[in-house]
Amino acid sequence: MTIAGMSVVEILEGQQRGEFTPEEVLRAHLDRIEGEDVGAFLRLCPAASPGPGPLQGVPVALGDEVCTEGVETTAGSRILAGFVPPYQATLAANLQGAGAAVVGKTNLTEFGMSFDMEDALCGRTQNPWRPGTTPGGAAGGAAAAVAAGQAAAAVAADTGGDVRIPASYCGLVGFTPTYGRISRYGVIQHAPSLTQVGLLARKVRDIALLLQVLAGEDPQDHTSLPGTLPDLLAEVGEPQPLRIGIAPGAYKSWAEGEVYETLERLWQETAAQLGWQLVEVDLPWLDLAQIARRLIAAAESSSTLGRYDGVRYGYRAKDAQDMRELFSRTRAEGFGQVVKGEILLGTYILGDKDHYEAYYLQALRARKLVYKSWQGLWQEVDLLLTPTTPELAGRGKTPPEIFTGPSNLAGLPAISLPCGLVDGLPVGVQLIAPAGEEGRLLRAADALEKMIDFASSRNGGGQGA
Amino acid sequence: MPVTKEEIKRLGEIIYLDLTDEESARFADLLNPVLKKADELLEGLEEEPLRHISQLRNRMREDEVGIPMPKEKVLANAAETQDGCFRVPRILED
Repeated sequence: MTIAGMSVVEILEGQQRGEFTPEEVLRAHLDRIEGEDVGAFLRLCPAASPGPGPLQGVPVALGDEVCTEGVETTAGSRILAGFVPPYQATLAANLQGAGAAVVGKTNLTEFGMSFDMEDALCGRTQNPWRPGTTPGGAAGGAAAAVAAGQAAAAVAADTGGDVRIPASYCGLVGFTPTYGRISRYGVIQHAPSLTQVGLLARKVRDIALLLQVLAGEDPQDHTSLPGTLPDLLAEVGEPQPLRIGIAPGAYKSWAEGEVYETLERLWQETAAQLGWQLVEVDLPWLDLAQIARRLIAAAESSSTLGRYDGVRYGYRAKDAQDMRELFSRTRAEGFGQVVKGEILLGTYILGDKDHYEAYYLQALRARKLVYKSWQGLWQEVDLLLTPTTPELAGRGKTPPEIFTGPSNLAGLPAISLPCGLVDGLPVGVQLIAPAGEEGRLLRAADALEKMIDFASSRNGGGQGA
Repeated sequence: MPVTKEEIKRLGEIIYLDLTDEESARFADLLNPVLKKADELLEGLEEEPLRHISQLRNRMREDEVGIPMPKEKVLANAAETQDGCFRVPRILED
């Protein structure tokens, strides 16, 4: 196996055995970036270099919404063109402090506001499994970079499935921890009550390693969780009996036939091979959660994006005669169509008492209903197993976030794993856990990953996926 | 009642976003299906609104003087500066 395409654990073990150096690892990934253009990166970090630490020499890509001191950061938007952060996001500093080499900044939909990379404004990103097909979004560039062997792992924001959806489409592991587990200081986000920092890698153990480095309270982020995690790597691998929730009725009604059949075969195998007890549950609120998440995200966006006015940083319209013209033209020329639509929707539902009560307040009531439903579900099961996306990459008929968005509404940890191929494209399975139960989630995901053995079952595409 | 392009235009003025008539019409067409779906699904819910799932709490710290970000760094990203300040178009009338 070539170095570019190895998992994080394989890179670290190879270095320990003296098979290659951190510098050779970095060179191999940079060569892959130069040699295979999937449109994953918006810019490279010229100062990328490995250092000592638990992630020594691991090449990591960052979504372009993560502020990197001295390296332009745009969140995929024209309105932040030329913005060079004067400070480092906590997560970027932690990665570098652990010895990782941040190789570059990856493409995303503008401010991460669409799950369809076709909406991205900074160029087309290809799905390495099938060029011409979407890698999914918002973190499509991050997923394409890892799937193409251009980085061993990536970090990006997840507000409704932005990391897990592209992980599913690109045959990778995509993970979002409990809300607040990883600091969001320096992460440009549009819907702060929903955004969790997500991780992309090839293997569950890679995720455990990254999480160990990135988790922790940050005085700069007042929503970050106090306390430390147990040794997740030590815990991964300990088998345990689990009650696994499945909702065949909901999955059948939302997912396309081949995706459903792949999942059905999978959960039957888990019962036979892993001894998991399957518990049928009902999820009648999926469409309610979908619309509630959409409205809450739009409302928060209309507020958070108010700061982009052309005065202090980013794009500024030329030759404005007064402040109103400066603001209005800067924002009209700087924002793309998707962002304009979202902030108009958010302003509509916040800007009038009747609209506020009919839409925003009702969306928050729906959020409470979904939250309580999760609480009830955890009385019956230890984890919920769902398809990650209802369809394969590029189909685009059903909201891709229908199964991923509900966990963001409640800040729950969730993980997507590749579990098979349909028509040559990866299918993802998602596990969701109660808040704070990353250990349980990663142990189960590790066992499931070993049972699936995706790497040896695949029959083509996706460099080293 | 469906959103009209005139309402969208008015919203654009509130949030300082110049919109053409064509854009306003397009965004009205875009918002209406979303609001219709919301009307269908959200009506009649009576739960307490849940604004945030985080257990937010006050975090106290010593009131110590820190090292602020140098002014040059703060101004480095601005499109126009003058005499150590952000430069903007005229605010006051003659």
